[in-house]
Amino acid sequence: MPSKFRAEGQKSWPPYVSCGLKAPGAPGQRIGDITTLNASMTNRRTMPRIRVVQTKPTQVKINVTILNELGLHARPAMAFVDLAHQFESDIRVSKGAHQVDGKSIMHMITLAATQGTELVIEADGPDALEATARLQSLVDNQFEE
Amino acid sequence: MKLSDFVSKDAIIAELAATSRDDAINELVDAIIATDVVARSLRDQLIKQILAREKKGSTGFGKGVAVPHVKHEKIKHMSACIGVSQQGVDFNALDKEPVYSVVLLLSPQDKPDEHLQAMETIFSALQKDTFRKFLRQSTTRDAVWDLIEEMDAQQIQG
Repeated sequence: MPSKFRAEGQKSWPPYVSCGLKAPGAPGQRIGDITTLNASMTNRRTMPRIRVVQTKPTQVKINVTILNELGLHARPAMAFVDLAHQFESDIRVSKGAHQVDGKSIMHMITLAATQGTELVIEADGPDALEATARLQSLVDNQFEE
Repeated sequence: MKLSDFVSKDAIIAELAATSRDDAINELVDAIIATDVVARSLRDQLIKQILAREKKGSTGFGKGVAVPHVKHEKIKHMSACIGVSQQGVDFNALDKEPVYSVVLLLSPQDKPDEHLQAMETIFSALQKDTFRKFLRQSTTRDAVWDLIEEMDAQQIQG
């Protein structure tokens, strides 16, 4: 899991944790728009999975840096758009004031994100957390080029 | 960056004869070679590379446009040519629709940032419904070039 992933306004790793790990925050604590239930229950017998319950559509915003030498050219931009389409959430990507639809290849190419460019990815929807985590992972792994 | 910085006016084909992707790419590469922007000796290699790129994933990104492209170490200056098809080209586009405007971009190997900026310029234009519509309606090289100059002068809306 990408360690840099943060929900907006949050300082520690949010509740998308695997079985048996203790999540930060008390049970039921509000983290942004997400409520974690049973987050402190670590006993596998009574609570084999820590669930993340999202009480309403969630907005998550993350920062990423393009590491590829060739930048975000057509093929990685396509990989980004393909992945973004797997999520219900709206995905917006911005470079400075220029914001585009992260599900449109034609829009994404207009970012002209060269190596070292910082982008902000915003997801808005029920699967915003997973979407941003997966997209961050894709960018961090240099689109597996 | 402006379209007229890298689009080769003499390589504009207002009426593409090709109706298949491979033929269209051949036609466009021949057009740009005829202008001496690119060495004739690179012809076959460029076509092979462009087609290999298309097979990895179509650059027919939808809305009737395709932007095949290639980087090559023997290309010193970025250049592009534009082909307009009246009958439509089967480009294996993502939306499965025929392509009416093809922009072929040839970039130097060692200038990835310039390549991205050129792609940005191309897609900023192609995103505009009016630009696509006018491009498709252009039946002469001069008409296409006028449109490019209008785009560069930011006279094309929406």
